[in-house]
Amino acid sequence: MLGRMLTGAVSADRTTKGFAARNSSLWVMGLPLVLLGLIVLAAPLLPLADPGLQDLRGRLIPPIFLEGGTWEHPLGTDQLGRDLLARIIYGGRLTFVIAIAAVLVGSVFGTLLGMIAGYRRGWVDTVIARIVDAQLALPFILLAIAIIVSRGRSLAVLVAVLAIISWAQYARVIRAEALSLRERPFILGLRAAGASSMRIILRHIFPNVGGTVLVLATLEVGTMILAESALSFLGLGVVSPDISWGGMLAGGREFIQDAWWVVAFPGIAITFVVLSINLLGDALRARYDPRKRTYL
Amino acid sequence: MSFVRFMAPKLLGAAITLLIALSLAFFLARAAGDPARNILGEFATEEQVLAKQIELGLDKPLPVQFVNYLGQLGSFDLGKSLRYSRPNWELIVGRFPSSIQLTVVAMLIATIVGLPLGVLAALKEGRIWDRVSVFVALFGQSIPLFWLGLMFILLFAVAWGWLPAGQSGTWQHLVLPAVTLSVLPMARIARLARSSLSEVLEETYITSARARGLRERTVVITHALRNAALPVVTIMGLQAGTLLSGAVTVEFVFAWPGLGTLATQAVQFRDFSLVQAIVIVGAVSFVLINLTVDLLYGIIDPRIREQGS
Amino acid sequence: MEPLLSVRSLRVEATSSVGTIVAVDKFDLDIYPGDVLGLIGESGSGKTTAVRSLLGLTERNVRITDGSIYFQGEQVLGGGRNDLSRLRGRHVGMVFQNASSSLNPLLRINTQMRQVLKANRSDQTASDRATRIEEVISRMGFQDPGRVLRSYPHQLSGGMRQRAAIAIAIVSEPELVIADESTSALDVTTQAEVMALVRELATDMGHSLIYVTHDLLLAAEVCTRMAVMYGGEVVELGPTSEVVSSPHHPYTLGLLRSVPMWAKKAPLVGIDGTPPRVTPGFQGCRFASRCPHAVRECSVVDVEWTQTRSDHGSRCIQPEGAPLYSGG
Repeated sequence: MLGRMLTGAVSADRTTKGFAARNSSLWVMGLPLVLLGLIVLAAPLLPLADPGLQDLRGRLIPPIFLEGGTWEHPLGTDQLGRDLLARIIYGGRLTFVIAIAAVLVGSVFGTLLGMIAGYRRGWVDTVIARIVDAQLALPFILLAIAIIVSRGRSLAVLVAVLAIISWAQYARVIRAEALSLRERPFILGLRAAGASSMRIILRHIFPNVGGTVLVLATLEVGTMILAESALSFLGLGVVSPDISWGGMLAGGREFIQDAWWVVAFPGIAITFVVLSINLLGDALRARYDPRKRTYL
Repeated sequence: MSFVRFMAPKLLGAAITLLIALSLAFFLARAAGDPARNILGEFATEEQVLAKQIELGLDKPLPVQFVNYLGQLGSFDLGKSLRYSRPNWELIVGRFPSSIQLTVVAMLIATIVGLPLGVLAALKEGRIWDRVSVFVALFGQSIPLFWLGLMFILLFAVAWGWLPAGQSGTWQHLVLPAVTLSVLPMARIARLARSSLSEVLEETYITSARARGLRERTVVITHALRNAALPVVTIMGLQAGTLLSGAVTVEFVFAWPGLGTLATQAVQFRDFSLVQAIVIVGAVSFVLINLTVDLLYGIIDPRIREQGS
Repeated sequence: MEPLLSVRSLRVEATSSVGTIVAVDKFDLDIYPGDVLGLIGESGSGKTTAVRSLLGLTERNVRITDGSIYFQGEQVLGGGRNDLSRLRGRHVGMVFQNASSSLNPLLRINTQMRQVLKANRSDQTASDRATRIEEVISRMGFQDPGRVLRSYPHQLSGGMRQRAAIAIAIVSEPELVIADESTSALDVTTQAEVMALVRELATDMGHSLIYVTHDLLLAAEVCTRMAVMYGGEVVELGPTSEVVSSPHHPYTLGLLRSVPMWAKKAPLVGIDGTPPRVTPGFQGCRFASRCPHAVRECSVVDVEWTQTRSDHGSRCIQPEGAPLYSGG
């Protein structure tokens, strides 16, 4: 009972004193991402080398802190003599664009279906829930391979594949939330008052699941970056001359014995960004979901 | 027996899920694309494309193709590989032992390390150990595994020469791919074990068990851990299901001769039929493993055991 | 008579990111063999925290900061000792407010009873334990005690679960049983039945009983003595008949007046306001802000305990100043 008293006190406090503290933790988590986003956006304005410029005499130059490194290429060059720093920054643009586009498509689609399933119940729910289960049963990389092999490779296909991989996650979580929301008095009241289903779902259910969608979508950006890098690494995603971090890893793999930096730096970039996103997602979850559920 | 009544609906459910999954795979891969054109490349003539379509049965209307596909599945026929001119089933069965070996060892490592990590974190909630293990788990979920594999090769094979960089044969060959593959399930098991156990530790029946004078060890092991096990078993099933066929990038990095490598080879030769067969096998193994998990549920939790009856 | 359990100036504090709350303060209590004491208070009065502290079963952020506890004359808390966990199960059995959540859902009733005996009665053999379990369960008023033993908690009804929880609490023959019913989920009839059973068992076996509840009426029916808690303190303690007929503390009076049965001669009234948040620097009587009889002094001085009879006392600066039917 005392525990409840205390948590009551804590949640009440969330609106007053703790708010700044909570926000500041969000800021700390979000800051690296914001900075990185700015750098990546401003890439053309920065004094960087041309990321596509090949220099066959300057291949596999080591980074500045190793013997033989120059300030001209702070992180060294790759197998074709292209500047790694420039490629990582420019590569970040496409990586982010693809991940965010996939998250937008997947979250809109998945959230809508999840809300409809949870709110409508009945056969609509049964059908959607079954499709979600089925989608989750398909191993994602294999499914992506199957789609890309039969459809061909393009950025649109890549985004579509990533969205297909992720929609079921939103649908599953949001359905469960909608299921409990529909029994809440304010929704029951609206139904009794004759509000239409679509209106209830969009105007009343959605605002109540918004926090969860935000947390999920944040975490999914990380998942999508990892998935994109895996597909590009296998040669199924972004290919030259477009630059993404996964694609850079694919190219540098053969030279790993002589030039570890070609492989190490893009991987560090991916890990850093995904880790920052996951930390931010956890901070958001702590804020929007005091029960700290794990969405797997 | 009630066991049959417990399992029957689950079997039916699994069959339905599988059917929908396989249909999804079919439509996602074929509905708007043109595999024949894609297989032959952009320089093929219309005649060549048409011939290929007839060969693959792609000239027929989509519903007819779908019925044929289901018919094949019904007679356990996975088709023939375009590249190897052999039944896909043979190719897949040949890779199964390697894939299972890798999956089992990776899951063992993930469980042996991840479970205690999560349990200790929950028991020491809020302390430094908890924070460290939460961060480690989060880190494990943020690393691209194939890159981690490359880094392992760089260190353990190239720089220090302790372990082989690729292929299979001895236990040394298994170490790097298995450890690499175990990182993600390990992180997930640790996180879920932590959250699930710390939730259970707040339950009244735990306080009640302490009030009965039971030793702390008994309270944690027979009361808390068993109740926290359900979600952990679920995530282990999900992870094992994905690993068996989803270890594509890790197998590729280590040239491990499993299903994943078979899939990447099929991609190189645009062996559409073989890829489809591997997807089907992947979905079937996923559903089977999760059916096993459902069975475990019944053993762990009497409430679930009785739902069927 | 030597008390079974003596608590002296127990103080329990709860700390969170918001600050510290004094959950229990100046808590004195003597329990004698065969005693049936009701510990009464509204939710947040500290009654549950107080009894859980007696067994050292507080939540992570809750700490006993002062006081001493003696069991059968031996000090178990204070003076550098903390042997509270030694009391659990062996000497003090606890029945929780909601049996459904206090029974482990994955273990049969039999297993849960056996565990208690194994942990607390190492002198017994396996067959001793089986006999003892049979004996206890057969006294619980079940139609088919054998089936109950073989059942998992979810296979039993709410009332049956509550009885099973009692059986588990008393199986190792503790000298004191604490029944925490503060927010019982049972319906009123079942609750009364179960309480009657607890009392019967307690008196039969010579156990003492502390009954923690917010229900004054129920407590008055079952208990021989009553302790009323407010804001973490015991504000009144005395024999049930005394407390009900001539309450000393305005809070007790307020509680009595909100019970329809006793208030029939006077208008039924509730107590205005909400309990205070007691922080370490809190001054004065904790009920002062809600008390109709409060004078300026009440919120300034720390009110001492006044013993008006050998067995009846209260924490009010004007004890006996508030007869039950005044002002009606």
